[in-house]
Amino acid sequence: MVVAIGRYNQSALGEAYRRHAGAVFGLAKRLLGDHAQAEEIVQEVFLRLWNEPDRFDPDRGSLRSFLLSHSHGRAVDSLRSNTARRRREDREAHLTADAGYDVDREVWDLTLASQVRDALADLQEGERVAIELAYFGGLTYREVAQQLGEAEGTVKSRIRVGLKRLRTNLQASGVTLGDQ
Amino acid sequence: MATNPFEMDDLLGVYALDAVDDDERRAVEEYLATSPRARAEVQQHREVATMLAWSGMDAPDGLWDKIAGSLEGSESAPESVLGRVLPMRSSRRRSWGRTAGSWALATAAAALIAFVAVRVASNNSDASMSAPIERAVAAAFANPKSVQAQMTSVNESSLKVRAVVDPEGNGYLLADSLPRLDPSRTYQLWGQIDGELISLGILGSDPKTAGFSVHGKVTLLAITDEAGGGVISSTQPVVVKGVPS
Repeated sequence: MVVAIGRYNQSALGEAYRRHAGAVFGLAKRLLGDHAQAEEIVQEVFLRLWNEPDRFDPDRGSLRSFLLSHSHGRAVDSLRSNTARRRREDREAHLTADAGYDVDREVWDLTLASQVRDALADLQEGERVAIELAYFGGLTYREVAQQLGEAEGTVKSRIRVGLKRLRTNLQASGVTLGDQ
Repeated sequence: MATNPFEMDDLLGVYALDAVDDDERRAVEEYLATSPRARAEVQQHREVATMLAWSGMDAPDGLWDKIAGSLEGSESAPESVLGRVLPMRSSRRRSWGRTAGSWALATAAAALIAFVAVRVASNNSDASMSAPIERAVAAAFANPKSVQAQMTSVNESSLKVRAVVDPEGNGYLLADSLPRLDPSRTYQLWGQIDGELISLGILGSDPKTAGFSVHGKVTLLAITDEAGGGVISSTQPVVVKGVPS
């Protein structure tokens, strides 16, 4: 498909959009809490794929992972800008008051939800919370450490170990990573 | 800041989640350039994060249109350059007669049937699909809100005609596989809309790519072989048919 996009095949880009735009938008919206900004990121992600298809290397992962990684990076960049930070702080305050960072509530896909939920549940609490704050909160590990009152090295380690454990858990439950 | 490989490895997880500051990001990227193993680990972490990001939600309405409109070289459907418009005898709708050998075709009074068919513009075999048409067809197929149909014959599996209708009702047929008819005959396109089967237009004796317009949701498309000029109500068997989805 990406080869076709590289040949400026609009239908191939449309198919990529059909498959992945919802997830890209969902991730950006979750991070930014702003519909319009999330839309802008979706546009940027797919236009980048159209204009620079060579940046995607299928040997290094799935197209979905590539698109979501780009979306996440852009959303985090936006979050860390001064103006966005104020909005995020407001949103964080709301989330904390409401329900905290509960990833279980945010995993919607019916096919995968239970497997992802189970895999997360098997993580140690400290690992799960650190991953959620970093990935969905858009925080640096230093900010995560500050928020949790933990040492920076501890948070770094928990995130890395947690991701590895999560991968193992997902694979054990039959999820094929990198194939979506 | 981390300086040795051990310390850099410790940053791979947080780097994969974009949870490092700019200086560390640059340092990790320099490290990744030298370490295939580290690159593989980062990719694995990102694949895992992809699973967490799975939201199951839809992108907002109209967003694809904005993207498609921004693509280099994209154009809107070139209605005026679709080639010659084969004349229909009138703008009235044509229904398909019910026969024992073909599928059910309503013959309700024309005045009671919802307005649908307008015209069919066709590129016949003497002209290849022009670039504007190609782009219009590609755009229609690329539009996630378009409906597509793979029209096939019951008896001859080789006959396959693809059709697409975009949200604005611009439809396109890729009919290369249809055998050439005697010049005295024509293929005719039919669509089922609101439960009524009506003519969407005549395609000529050797259609390749054809454009047509509809107003309403098409639930079935079919092509018949008719006498030249087309018919108001068909009694001919279906050549190909398909359900848009």
